[in-house]
Amino acid sequence: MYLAIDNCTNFASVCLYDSNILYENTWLAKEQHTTTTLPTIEKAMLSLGRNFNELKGIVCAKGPGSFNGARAGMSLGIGLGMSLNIPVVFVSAMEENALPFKDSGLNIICLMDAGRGEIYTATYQSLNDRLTIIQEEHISTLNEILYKITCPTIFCGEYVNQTSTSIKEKLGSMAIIATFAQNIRRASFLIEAGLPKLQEAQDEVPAPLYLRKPPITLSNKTVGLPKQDN
Amino acid sequence: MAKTKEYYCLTVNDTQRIGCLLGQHAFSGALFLCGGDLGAGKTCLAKGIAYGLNISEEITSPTFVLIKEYYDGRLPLYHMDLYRLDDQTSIFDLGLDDYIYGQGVSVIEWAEKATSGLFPSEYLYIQISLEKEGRRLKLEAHGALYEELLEEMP
Ligand SMILES: Nc1ncnc2c1ncn2[C@@H]1O[C@H](COP(=O)(O)OP(=O)(O)OP(=O)(O)O)[C@@H](O)[C@H]1O
Ligand SMILES: [Mg+2]
Repeated sequence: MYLAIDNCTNFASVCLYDSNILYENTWLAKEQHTTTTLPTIEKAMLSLGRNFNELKGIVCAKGPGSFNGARAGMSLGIGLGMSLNIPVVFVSAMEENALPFKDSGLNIICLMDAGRGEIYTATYQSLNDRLTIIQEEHISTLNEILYKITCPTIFCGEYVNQTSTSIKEKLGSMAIIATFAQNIRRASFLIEAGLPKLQEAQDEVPAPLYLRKPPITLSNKTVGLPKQDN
Repeated sequence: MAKTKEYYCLTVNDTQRIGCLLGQHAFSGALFLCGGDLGAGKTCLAKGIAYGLNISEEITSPTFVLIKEYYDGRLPLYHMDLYRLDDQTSIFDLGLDDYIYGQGVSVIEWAEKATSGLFPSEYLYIQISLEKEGRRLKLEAHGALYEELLEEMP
């Protein structure tokens, strides 16, 4: 059984998977990620009659999004991974958002609110039913993003709900707008993205995807997982 | 040159009155950075800001808990204090971003402890200095929104 955790924005999502989705829950956590996420997973385990010891791996969303949210989710995943001695892998929240469109044959742009008129964004290309990232996660503005579009593109992500009218106005039929149901991130897609990584047993140093880099070099105190020995 | 205004505040009440006006004129996403020595009156000013935002909860110094949040006013108030944080990494690790890029009003005491890159380019800087008697408050607007805010101040 595998567990996926996403705490990257006001919305939280968790999923339990064992050849099939056993449980998925997506809820508005606001600032309550730390008090709601683990109890949600515990309740799910209880109702399924399953146990944390049955977990074989964990997938965590690593951002972009809320600085503290992403850290809360990752810490929970890392903590569980350490105590159960199972691997933990990390997936971009934007990949999680774009994954449902992987066989669209189109470009997919993910938009997430970064505050003060700024947007977190990444661009993926759907090719041979797979997603390839063509522009890494970065900070931008809506105008800057729309200005560069030259081919039919799917827009997805939480921020699309607020901006769909402006996108349509600028791009017309070139823009395919994901629905509100598609714009929410679901942890089942984290599982889908993370399973191959877990199976390759990639050893990954956890680093939240933080896009507002301070211009100074921070001290050399790095945070990392002790090596898994399994 | 940044637009500035100065006030001489003889009593705690005077300082809180300036804070109260700032709270009344504060907008969603406003960032108030406070500088000044120990006991200068930063928390005192923050109390005034909270009052101006119609927050009824009592404001206490966040020196030890680092961040306090108040939600019962016109806008949320995030009150932070960087005094106890000695290196940039621990300030960075605090995750101030979620607050200062959020919907509420952020008041940060000992803002001078952070290198400028940790803050957005627009904010109101409030320097409080001790006078023989009372305090001097210097408000410095960085960005158009804060210049407008200063305009509205007496
Ligand atoms: N005009 C004045 N304005 C503000 N405070 C004053 C004034 N005159 C005297 N005081 C006194 O100065 C002290 C200010 O304390 P306050 O906790 O607000 O300072 P602070 O700058 O937040 O200190 P710290 O750096 O410890 O956080 C209070 O004891 C207050 O009574
Ligand atoms: Mg204080």
